[in-house]
Amino acid sequence: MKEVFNMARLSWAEMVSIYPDQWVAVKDAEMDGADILSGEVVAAKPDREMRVFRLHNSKAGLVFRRTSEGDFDGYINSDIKIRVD
Amino acid sequence: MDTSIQTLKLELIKRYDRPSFEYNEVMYLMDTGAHMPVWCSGEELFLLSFPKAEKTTAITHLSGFGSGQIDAVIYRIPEFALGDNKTGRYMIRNLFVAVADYDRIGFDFILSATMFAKADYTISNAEKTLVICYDKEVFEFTPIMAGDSIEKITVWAQ
Repeated sequence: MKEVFNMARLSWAEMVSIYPDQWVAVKDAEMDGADILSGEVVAAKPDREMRVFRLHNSKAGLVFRRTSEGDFDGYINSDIKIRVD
Repeated sequence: MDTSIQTLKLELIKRYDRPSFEYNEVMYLMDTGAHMPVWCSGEELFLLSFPKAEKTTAITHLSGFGSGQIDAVIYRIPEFALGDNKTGRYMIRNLFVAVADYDRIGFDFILSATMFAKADYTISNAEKTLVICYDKEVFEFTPIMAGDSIEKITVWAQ
């Protein structure tokens, strides 16, 4: 692993709060299915920077997630712009 | 009972609204409205994930990503697989993928409906699963955007 960012164990909610709208690389992740419950954040970066990090840290046992889904609307155009819950 | 029907069950990420999952360190999004798969995370990471992929001379125009229309190069993945011998494996031979480099997308690989044209798939928001039921029969399709110059894509299962 080329970079050690922060070895404090965080919950997913804390990751979202501390690193909004970024990718996180999580070591020793406690998982609930495909979701991270908690773990040690070893890197948090915007999209392109995280790609470089991933290139050098593939198969290192890290779980990579974006703390938000991003603003991708889908490449099929849609008239629906506002979500109604 | 038809024993040729196979089932692959993938766990979706509960915290995302859209049907997404991780497989082999790649974040996938199932886009039931798409007709061509798109890799969003740049060529280097694509080749790391699919080292046997080959760049073709074809390009395609992609729009709707919020940054206008861009050109994307088309790669061919000789054998694309979801799942393994334990879970069941859904395989596509000669999968053509538009490879682009986008920001602000939480997914690497957008899977298109055409990749599952002969399969049944169920997205359960209650269970947060994607279940793909497929026959072992081989089928082929040609990506609409790629035109006639590209060979057919073959889908099969093990």
